[in-house]
Amino acid sequence: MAQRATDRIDAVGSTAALAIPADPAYVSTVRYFAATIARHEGLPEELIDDLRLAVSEACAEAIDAGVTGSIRVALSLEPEGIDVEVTGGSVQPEGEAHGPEGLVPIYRLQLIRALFPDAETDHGNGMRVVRFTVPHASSNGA
Amino acid sequence: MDLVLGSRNENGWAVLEVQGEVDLYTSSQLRDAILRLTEEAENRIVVDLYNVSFMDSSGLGVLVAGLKRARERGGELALVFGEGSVQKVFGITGLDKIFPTHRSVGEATGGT
Repeated sequence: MAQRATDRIDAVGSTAALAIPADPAYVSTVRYFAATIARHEGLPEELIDDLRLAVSEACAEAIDAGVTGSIRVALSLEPEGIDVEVTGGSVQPEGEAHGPEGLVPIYRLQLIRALFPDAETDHGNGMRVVRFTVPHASSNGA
Repeated sequence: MDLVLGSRNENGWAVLEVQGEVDLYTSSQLRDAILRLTEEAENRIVVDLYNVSFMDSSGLGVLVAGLKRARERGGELALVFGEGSVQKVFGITGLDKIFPTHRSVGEATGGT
């Protein structure tokens, strides 16, 4: 079966995915999307707040880095929790990124890793990927 | 969604009240509001984040820049926030040790 387009909420099996333009105006949409899925899964509000922050930081980090096109956020419902993957492709050539100066890029990844210690980043092949797992139980020390 | 911003003077401090979500999209509104206050020679600023329901690193960057600007002019930039997600962001990054932080505007301005 051909894969369906992901330019809107798309629940296929145990995965819900949303693709947004790499535009700051759309990042809040990702927060609402992720929170809705997490709330439906019965996660506690404190953990939902952590998820909202982490996906927001991951999208902002991709935009800061100069990703063009779209950013895809996928939440896979697994027995141990929700696997989250934020993928941005087509990074602009070096020097064209328009992110903030200073410590903000460091804070972004620091926050994601503090909230979800299993967080991984992969910035190879012109793609920027952030992955982490939101456990069903609040076992991340939050 | 835009931020709701309002400013007033209280006990010699410029109080900037912020409502809404501070992220990559809206943080420029907060930056502009702080810049406006410092350009008006308001260098003792309280940023009231009590009604901010979400803030990410973009907001932190703006506030750090505002703190630096205020201190360079011999002033101060203090923050007000309650318990919750905003407090958590400051705690994780350690910035709660850099800013003067308070639980109320009255406490920040010395009014109560």
